[in-house]
Amino acid sequence: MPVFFYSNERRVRVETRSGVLLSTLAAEAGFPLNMQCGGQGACKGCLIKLGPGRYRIGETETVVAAGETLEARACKTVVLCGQADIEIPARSLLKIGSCASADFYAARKNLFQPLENSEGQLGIAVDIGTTTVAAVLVELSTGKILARESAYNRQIELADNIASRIALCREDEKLKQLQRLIIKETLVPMFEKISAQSFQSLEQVTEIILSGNTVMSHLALGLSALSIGTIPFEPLTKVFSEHAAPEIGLTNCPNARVRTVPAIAGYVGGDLVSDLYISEPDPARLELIVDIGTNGEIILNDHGRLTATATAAGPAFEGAGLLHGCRADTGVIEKIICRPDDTIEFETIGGKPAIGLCGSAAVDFIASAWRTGLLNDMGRFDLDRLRAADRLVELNCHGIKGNACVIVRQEQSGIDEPILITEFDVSQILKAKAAVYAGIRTLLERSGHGVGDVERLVLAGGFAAHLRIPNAVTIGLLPEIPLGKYDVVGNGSLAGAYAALGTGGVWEELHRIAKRPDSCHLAETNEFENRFIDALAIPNLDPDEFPKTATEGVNHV
Amino acid sequence: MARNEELFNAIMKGKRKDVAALVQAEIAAGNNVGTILMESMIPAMREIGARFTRNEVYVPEMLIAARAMQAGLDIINPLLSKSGHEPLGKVAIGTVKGDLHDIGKNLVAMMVKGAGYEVMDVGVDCDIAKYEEAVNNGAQVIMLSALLTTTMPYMKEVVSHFKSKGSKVKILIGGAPVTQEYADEIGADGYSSDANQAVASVEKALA
Repeated sequence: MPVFFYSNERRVRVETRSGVLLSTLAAEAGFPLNMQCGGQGACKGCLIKLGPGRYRIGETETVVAAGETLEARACKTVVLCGQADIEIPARSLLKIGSCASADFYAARKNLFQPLENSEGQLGIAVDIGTTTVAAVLVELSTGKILARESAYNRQIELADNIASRIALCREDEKLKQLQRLIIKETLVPMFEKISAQSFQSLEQVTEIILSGNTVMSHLALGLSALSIGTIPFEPLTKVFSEHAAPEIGLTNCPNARVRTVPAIAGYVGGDLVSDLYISEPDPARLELIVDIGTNGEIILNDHGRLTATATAAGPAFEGAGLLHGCRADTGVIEKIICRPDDTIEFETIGGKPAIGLCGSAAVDFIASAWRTGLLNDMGRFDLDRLRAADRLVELNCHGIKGNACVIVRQEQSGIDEPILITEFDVSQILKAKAAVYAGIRTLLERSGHGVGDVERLVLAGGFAAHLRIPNAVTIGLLPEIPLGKYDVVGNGSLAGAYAALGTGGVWEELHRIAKRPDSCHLAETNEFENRFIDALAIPNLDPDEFPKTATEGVNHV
Repeated sequence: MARNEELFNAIMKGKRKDVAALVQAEIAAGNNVGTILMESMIPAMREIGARFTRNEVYVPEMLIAARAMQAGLDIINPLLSKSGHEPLGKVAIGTVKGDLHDIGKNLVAMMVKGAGYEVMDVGVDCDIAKYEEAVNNGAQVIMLSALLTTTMPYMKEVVSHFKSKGSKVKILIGGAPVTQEYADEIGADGYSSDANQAVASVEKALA
């Protein structure tokens, strides 16, 4: 039985199997849906339009008559018979920013030390992110990277956020499904691709290193992450055992062993251990390592003493939750500049007509619109100016009312509507940046330091690699320190896994590093909430926080 | 006494230092603290809540205003009982066991305080005993908050505890993963999806 999915002028056919949910089929067709609630049928993230046919929605059988459509939750709907045409509205597609990066920059010298007597042997380094997964295929005798690949973490079919995935661990069945989704549905096909790309057989692969947040590392090995969800947020284990690849389901690498980078704490994982390793904290300096993702993870190196924390930034930086937010792809706006005369310039990936915008473009917009005064300190538009520039849209749909600024007019847009940034979008970004900045400030304050004492700030993660740092400082996401002190390392998690494939005691070093940081729960500190509220404005309510930036803005509330 | 517009606006805009100074000035001028609260401060929080419902302000602005309101309340609270001011009711609020999240809970607490209720904030990681203590101290409503799907099930235990012993206390629940369906399922007396709705739920529960 075929099912046809339509979205964004794409039409994809998949074969349905009895009892398979439309959310699963849509993901297989390349349209992963918003599953904020983890497919519990509680949210409206995955609403789709059913064409004529017979369906089961929840427990009820429903017939959609010829010429009609019906809105339903994909996570609760099964096609019962006949050919079904399913329309997926753009708002129901999972929106993911530019984080599928398999790039890293060698911050550390001699990152890879070749393995002796390993001619003809290959290794695979993998970064398992909550949303995306990246891998490199490596020649172990030289360290040469033969292929790079990135993909969605297929676990998003079950739940798009980490808290929901932790909760799913309560059921054994779901835990098995989560492991199958990351191993069988994500890594196995990805490994096939890197094998094809490089004309190498996977039988030559002898070493696989996984690096990811603590929850992802648990799920990949089939371990329950449930205990990370409640106080004291302790994982089942921080050091993971070694497995033969087929044992955990990586059946296409029959000769490989799999090792997993150890974790620091429940919310600070192997990805941060990798970040730490490649950024080589200097025991004589005050440094910060910041990995901005759905969870902002921050490590302070106070002259050799390490403290780690995590702050819930939410998915806004990855484009999710923004009206026209998108993952980085052809046609997605990656850069926006607002001019003082209220003209707006933008660039899209590949120069194609715009279809949406990614998180770093939203940061650009907020920074430049605030500098010209189009946006005030609270993230509100100057409505008179927007109206005069013919860019004001007063939205009133799906119960959401609010003002929006037209970035791309309908006639230039690659979708059938203008591309907008709403005041609500701005407030989402402000909440996310406030969480990260308040985390940074709280760690600094607890160690008795100020922003001016920071000697180096290492930015890890895919989002940071696309971020224009001056704009991130202007909106108050990152501290106001000289640009030369920022150090962008790209996908540090992948870089650490890559280094661990080689020799030189890297593996042992990663284990030593994982034990070093103390962890700090921001919610248990007194300062965090105040810092967070101050950081909700652009750039900050506390005038002492961004003294230089504050003079850039033309209007203040 | 008419509304102090300056104070009203300072709360709306979240200027906590101004709020503190203006409240001090009112007290120095010999004005009744109950009147200051009822005529200038509570109306400001009500207005913020109404604007939030109309999508004219979002959570960041509400948080900032609530913090400014708190700065004013910190000054007048010790003086209130002496002034003969009676709160509309007594409410306890806390994040359930296993959960440390409190910014959302604090905002709800602030909005409820801002509506004229006495709020006992029992903190985070609260077990049944903590809620029980609040009820023994006169709470007519308890509000349970959870931000994690992993800690949400504890709400059910709290509700069953009070219902099984026939307690008349009203239990309201809220937090990101919580839904009306869940509230119905566990037998809670009410649910609200945001901080302003929480005020309406409290009013309804005490009506």
